[in-house]
Amino acid sequence: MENRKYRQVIGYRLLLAILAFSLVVTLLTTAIHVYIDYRREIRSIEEDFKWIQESYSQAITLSLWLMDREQLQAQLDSIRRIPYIIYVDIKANNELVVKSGKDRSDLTLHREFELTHSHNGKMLQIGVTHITAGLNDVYGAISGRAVLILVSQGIQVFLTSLFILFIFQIVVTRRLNNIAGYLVKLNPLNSNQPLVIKKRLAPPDRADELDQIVLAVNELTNNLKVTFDELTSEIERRRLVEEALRSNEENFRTLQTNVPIGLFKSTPGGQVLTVNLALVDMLGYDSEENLLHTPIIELYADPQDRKRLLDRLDTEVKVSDFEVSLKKKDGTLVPVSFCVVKTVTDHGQVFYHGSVQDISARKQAEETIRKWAHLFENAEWGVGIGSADGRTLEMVNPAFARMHGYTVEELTGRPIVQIIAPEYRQELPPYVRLTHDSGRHTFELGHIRRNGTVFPALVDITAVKDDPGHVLYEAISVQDITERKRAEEALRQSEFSYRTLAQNLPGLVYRIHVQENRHMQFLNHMLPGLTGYEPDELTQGNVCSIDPLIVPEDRDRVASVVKQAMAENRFFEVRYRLRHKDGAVRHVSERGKPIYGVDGQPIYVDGVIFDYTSRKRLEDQLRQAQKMEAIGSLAGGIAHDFNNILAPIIGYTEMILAELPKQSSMHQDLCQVLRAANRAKELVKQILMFSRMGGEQEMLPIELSPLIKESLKLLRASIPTTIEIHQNIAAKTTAALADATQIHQVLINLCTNAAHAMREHGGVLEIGLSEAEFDADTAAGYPELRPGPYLRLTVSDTGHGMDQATIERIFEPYFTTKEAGEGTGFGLAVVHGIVKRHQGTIMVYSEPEKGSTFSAYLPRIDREPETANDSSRTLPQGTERILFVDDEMVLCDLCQKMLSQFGYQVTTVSESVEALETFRKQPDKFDLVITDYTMPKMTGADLAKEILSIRPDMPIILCTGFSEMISEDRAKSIGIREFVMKPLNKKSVAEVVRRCLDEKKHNAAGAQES
Amino acid sequence: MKKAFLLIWFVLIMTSSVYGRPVLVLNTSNAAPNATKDHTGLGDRVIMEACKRIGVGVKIIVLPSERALINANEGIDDGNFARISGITSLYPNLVRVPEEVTEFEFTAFTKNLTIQTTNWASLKPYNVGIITGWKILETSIVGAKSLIRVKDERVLFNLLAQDKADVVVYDKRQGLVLLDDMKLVRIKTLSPALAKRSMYIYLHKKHQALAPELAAAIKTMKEDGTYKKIIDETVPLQMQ
Repeated sequence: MENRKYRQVIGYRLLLAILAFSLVVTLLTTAIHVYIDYRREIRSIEEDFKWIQESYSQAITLSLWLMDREQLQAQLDSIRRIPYIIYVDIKANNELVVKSGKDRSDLTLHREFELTHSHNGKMLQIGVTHITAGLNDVYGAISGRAVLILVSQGIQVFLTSLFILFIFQIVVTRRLNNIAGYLVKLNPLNSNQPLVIKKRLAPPDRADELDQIVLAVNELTNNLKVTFDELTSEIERRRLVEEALRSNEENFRTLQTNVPIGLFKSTPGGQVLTVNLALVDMLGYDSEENLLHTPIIELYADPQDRKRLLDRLDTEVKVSDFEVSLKKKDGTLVPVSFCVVKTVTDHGQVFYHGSVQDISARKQAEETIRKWAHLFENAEWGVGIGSADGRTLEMVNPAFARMHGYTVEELTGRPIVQIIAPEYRQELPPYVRLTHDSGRHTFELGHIRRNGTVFPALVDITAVKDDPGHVLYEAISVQDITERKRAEEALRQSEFSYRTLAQNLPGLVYRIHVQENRHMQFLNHMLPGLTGYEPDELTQGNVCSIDPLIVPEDRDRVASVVKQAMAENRFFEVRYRLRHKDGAVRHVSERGKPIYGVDGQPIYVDGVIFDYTSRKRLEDQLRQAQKMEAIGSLAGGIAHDFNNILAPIIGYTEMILAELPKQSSMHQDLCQVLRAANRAKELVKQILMFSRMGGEQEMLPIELSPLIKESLKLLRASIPTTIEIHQNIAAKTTAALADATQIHQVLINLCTNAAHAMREHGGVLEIGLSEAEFDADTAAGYPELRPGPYLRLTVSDTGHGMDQATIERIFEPYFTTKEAGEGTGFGLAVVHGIVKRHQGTIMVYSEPEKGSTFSAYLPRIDREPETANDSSRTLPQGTERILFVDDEMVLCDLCQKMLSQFGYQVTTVSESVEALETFRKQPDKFDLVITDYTMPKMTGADLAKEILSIRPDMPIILCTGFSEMISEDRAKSIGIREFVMKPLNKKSVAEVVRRCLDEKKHNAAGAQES
Repeated sequence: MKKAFLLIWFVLIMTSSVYGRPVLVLNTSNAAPNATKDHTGLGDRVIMEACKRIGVGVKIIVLPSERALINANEGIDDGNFARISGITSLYPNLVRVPEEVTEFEFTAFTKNLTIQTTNWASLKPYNVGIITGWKILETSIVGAKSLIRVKDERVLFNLLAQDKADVVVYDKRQGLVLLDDMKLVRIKTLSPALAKRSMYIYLHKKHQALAPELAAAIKTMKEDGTYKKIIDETVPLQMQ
């Protein structure tokens, strides 16, 4: 219905007719309207013309008479403003006087009237006024109205037509469509519904045309339905019968053909009547015919089997699960299971209907299960089946039970948690969940045996699921991994030992892969310490190597040594230099050995690299010290003889001076002698200071700060004024155990040198004192230093500085950069000796033209310094008896007089043997023995031994100029109380003698008290 | 009846014989002292005397300037006075009587004592007023700051009195009379006059035969002292 063309729709045709008629009517009425409007407008213009003539004629005439053009123009403009007037002009004698607007010849109306004026008694025509009205606006307005009328009437007609169409559609067309649709869909099978249209059905006497059609259609439908129902019932009954027959037959054929069970029909006589394809395939025949032509008896592997079957069928109607072996076409046997039913026809004829099932797969499965069962029973691993929820053991093998100390029966049905060690039980549920989620999970868990012992177990659980994914049960295997754990722990310990050993060795332990460009396959963590680089910084491509760090001059030598070692399969050791990341050169020693593969080719080189830079510096310093020692020994030997020479000179001179009047010329001369001798003594002292073999100086706790200030006062006078002196004492604690005289010497020497370096151009001399601390690592670099607090005494200048070669030699004796006669070459050597004797060290930093800084490090102490002034003390005295032994008589006399002045009783002997005899005769006659060391026949040491053997408590003072043969320690070991160096002066002699005697008394008193 | 007809015919005959020459209607737009309402102005009297001498009657009417020319040119009136020579090019139906009736001095009038005029060009800086139809002024004043045209002389001088124009140009004699008549003060004439023109009578061409006669009569009046006598009687002494 919906696809019908519009032309076939009644409503459409009705709409077209109405529209066409209405259009014609609209056009006619619009034309009439337009004509009437046009006439009205024309009349209006004509009336305007008349009004203009009446209103303006007189005024225009007057203006024209007066030729007042402005007035005329104003009057015409006023006229032109009247609607539709487009042009007005005034002409006199056909000549234009004034005009307003533009004259157009098309679509206009014209009017003119004469202008007459009475002049001199006559009426004169002085001009003509022309007025033009434009009709364009009239036509435009009329056209607009015509369009408006046309459109409004058109819309009115169209809407009216639509409304008529709508009413027609509602009242007629829609119901006709209902009727047509009903008839089209009319089906006698299911037309239970009568035709109903959306309209109140009128009574038959007042039924309209539609009502009559509805009634007729419904009656016709009822008649059709009765007839059709009868026909349909008969047809359906027949169809169902045929369908059932066809279905049964089809099902039977399909079943027989496709069933995987062999089917047959046979006779008791052994003839096969029918077989299906399954049986043909089962027995390996090509076709049913071939099988049907084979006697039954030939199909049995054992013909007796058929006889037994027939025997049973004689007594039983149905035989099931009768298992025999049949022969296939190719002679192989196939195990089958028979199910046979005996039937007897109405005629007494017997048939066997049976099914044959190939049970070879079942047989094989049974065999497989039997093997698995054997494996299950005899497995070494514990195997079991857990419940689906993972809580209960449903089945275990004997190994599982043995592993846990139970029998199989005892474990079956037991909760799994009971074989888990208590401390591990909380881990089980997460493992079970994980297994159920992933299907399988392997983990280690502590299991507990029946006897309570715990063992580590490797557990593997597989969740066996059905198709929807529900867990059916858990397959569990448990392995006791106690032994494996022990082995792993042993391996781990071993690996840890080797690793810590390699990592903690104080050198870079490595393994180099020879065949991969000497890639360092293993490195302990000493690489950054040795080279300053991290491994990745030394990696280029995939190769990590320190070869690029080897100083270029050493590379070939190192490569040659390693290559030679690989060729000869032996250890190698090579020393070379590495360039550290900080730019410094490190001296390293590498020792290694090649490792060979099964093919005899070197694969690796294993080795270790040690940094011996510090050791090398120590070696250099030791070498320097030894050199200084040798020079000192030489100088010390000379000094010894000098001291012996100087001692009597000074001693006797002092004694003579004491006896001579001070005003005498001899006294003055002898003063000169004594002054010169003292200078010589000071020189010897300097030499001995340098050689560290000089006379024992008394080390006292002193404050360096006032010492520095005092020294600077003295220096200021001797240093040119072009040199500024700054002092910078930053140390809070400035006490050191030192000899003030020597430290003063150090300052004098260093400052004198600094001033010398700045004497030409002036500069700044700075003396500083600060605290410093040496830790063990730093102190290790300086053999004379011990870790601890130090005072750093610095002397800096801004002079010409020194180059490296000069720095290396400045502490050597006799080395000087000064002009001949300006320096002795001993200044810095003495400084060096003094500082070392104070168990300190001295460092130099200098650059050419930038000045120099000397830093002397002296051990710092926290004790309060002693401020006693030697000169203020009175020399100690006594009355004890002293035996003085020296092979030089001069010294014997000198000391006798000196000691006598202190009140002592002195016995002098010039030979040691004689002295021993003297002592032996009267051992109690003496309270103290003073002996020289170097004496003929018997040295002072030997004499002391002898004396001590006689009187072990005898205090002995050993006195010597210089000797390598005995040191202070050795002297003390012999039993000698004091050890003093020549030349002796009164002060030192008085003090050491008194100290020995007092100590003896103290010891004696102690012995009595004890 | 017959007698009455004869009487009318007699009158007509008598009229044509006694008054055989027409009465001229001459119009003018001049003001005093050339023309006055009672026709006692200079022009009025010269024309009436000249026409009298040639035996032609004359009637003088006063019209606006342009209407006067149009009427004369179209023959509505018989002639016009007093006009400068040369207007026949615009009004071809007119014929000039070739004897001067009077003379116009086209003079600048102003209230501004600082203005000096020597020729037409000296008017350029100013707002100038003239009467419409004065052809000599319309063609000579070129390039003034503004040129205001008015319909008559009273309006013209009101322009000046109301400071709507710096200068107005008009005939000196008529201007002075008008100032006196309008009682306008503090307006002066500027010397010298911008132009002087002889003024003539124009007749419609239908009367061109009378032109020489009129000219001769006027000339005779000048020669016999009549003309001078009329001037003395019509023009104040200070304006002569």
